[in-house]
Amino acid sequence: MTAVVADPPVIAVRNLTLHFQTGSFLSAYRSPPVRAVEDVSLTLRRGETLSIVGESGCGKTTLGRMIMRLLRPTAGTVELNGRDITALKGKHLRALRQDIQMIFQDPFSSLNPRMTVGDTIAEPLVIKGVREPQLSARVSEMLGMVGLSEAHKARFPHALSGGQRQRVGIARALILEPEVVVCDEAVSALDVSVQAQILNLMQDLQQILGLTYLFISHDLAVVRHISDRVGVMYLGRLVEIADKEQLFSSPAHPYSRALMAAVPVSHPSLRRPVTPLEGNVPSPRNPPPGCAFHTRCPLARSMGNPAQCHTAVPALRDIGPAQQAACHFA
Amino acid sequence: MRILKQLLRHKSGLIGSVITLLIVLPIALAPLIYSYDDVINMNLAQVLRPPSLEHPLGTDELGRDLMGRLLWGGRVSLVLSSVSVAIGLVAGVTIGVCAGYFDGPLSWLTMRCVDAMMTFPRMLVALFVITVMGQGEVSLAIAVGISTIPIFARLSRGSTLALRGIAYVEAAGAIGASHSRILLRHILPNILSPLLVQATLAFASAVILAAGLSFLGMGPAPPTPEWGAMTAEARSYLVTAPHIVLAPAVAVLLLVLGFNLLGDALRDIMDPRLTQERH
Repeated sequence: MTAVVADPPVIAVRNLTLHFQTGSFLSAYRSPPVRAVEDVSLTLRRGETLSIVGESGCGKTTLGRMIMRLLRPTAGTVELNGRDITALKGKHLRALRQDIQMIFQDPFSSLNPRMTVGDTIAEPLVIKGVREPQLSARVSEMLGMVGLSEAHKARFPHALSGGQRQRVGIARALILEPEVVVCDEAVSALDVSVQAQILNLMQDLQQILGLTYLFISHDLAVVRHISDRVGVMYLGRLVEIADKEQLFSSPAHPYSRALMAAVPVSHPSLRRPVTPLEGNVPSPRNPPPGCAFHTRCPLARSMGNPAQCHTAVPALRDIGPAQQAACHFA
Repeated sequence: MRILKQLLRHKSGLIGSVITLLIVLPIALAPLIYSYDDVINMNLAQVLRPPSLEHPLGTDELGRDLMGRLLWGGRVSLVLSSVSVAIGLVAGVTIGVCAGYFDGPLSWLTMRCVDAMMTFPRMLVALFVITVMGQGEVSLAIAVGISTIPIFARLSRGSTLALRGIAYVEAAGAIGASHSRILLRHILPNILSPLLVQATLAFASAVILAAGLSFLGMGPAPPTPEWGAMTAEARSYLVTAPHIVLAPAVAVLLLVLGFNLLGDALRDIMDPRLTQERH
């Protein structure tokens, strides 16, 4: 941990693990589970934006879903303001929605096509038991906050553009005034020009409402724009977590280095020599022993594949003042 | 309204609507034309009369006006079939939606039971229910309804499974909606169109099944006019007065045809691949 931590974290995740049993319950015992998330620990500080990046299938979305408690972890704990929320059920779990909310990736499938914008935004409050006239007032206020007008209230989602729909999704998430918002690829499905608008809106709302964002994305340009800190995931594990500038300027983990080198630059003269990673991501059903990355690791190869890499799982360790990486040799 | 417009533009939809209206309208208006006593009371002086101005379809073997019996019998058929489709729809959708939403060992077991039910011919299932419950309108409606459950259960389970992974259903969970709220507000309204199509088709087959069971004597007791029972009672006069056998049979045929055409048209119209709702 860095020395600057003064506040207790809003979210503390310890050794979070999720193994999926796939197939029907009859065949579940025949195939090994999918190890979607393996032993992830991190903290989310009040008011910051922590991004989680990684390739598709690395478990970043699953991690977000577990913190959100839409999925129940196989092992590990999630704490919200020091309270263990890992095992909450039923009524208590529903009460948690007040504190943690989510913005979904696809603005086209995340809104019920048979509900008006007004009904969709009002639903969290209706569930909470808020009645008229406060209900309409809050919905109108929220519409204004996300840059929609009163006229949008009666519309159905199919009459809105992608950006407008995402604004509705944001309004729905924020109307409960949560502390933490999990943004799952919140702008990935949008056009680039609209992405910028939505990102700016999210940043403004963060300022006004004091939100803490867990921003899940595969788009490094977006991550660089919005984050305070960035975590890199590979095959279900957190391989590096660091302050944004630190990670983008001097990534420590070989995988992070490969990832950062793949970011396109804005001018040909800035182009660096890139050696793309070889091979494919191994199956999360049968991850390699030791460091999950050793099968493709250029560092391990240049060092002559030391035994440590495929026997011992590297733990996250401090590399610099605000940088931790899970590599034996970084 | 949009659906109605498209229905009338669709060829088989138009034909189906016209046939259905031509049958359902007179049936609905029957009490204005014939009193129920007219179609119940025998008149042995006027047995097996050919069609005339007084009796448009002639009279049956007990001297009752055939047109009147046909129209009143239609009411019995329509009510029986509607009630049985409603029973099948409500029970089947409840089973299917729950089994699709709470996917687990229990729902697996439920669906295997539904599958087992499907392996029996519907007539057999219905006969079994009537044997257990006794003869009469009520048990006939329940019997036909129960035999309709598997279709609706399978259809609604499939649709629910498809919806369960969609983001807005997950989003409903994320804002703290209870299971019943998710099922009623987010899943049910979005699986309604395939169910509506299926209900139309199920109605047609319920008419046939109810008439078939009545023909076998499992329906309402004798003086009550019912198309299947009428066909059965008159079948010994097939050679001497074929029209009294054919009239109820043709009525069943037309009603079923009308609803089948209507159902097919609705399926075409509501198929998202054919008429995509543009975003």
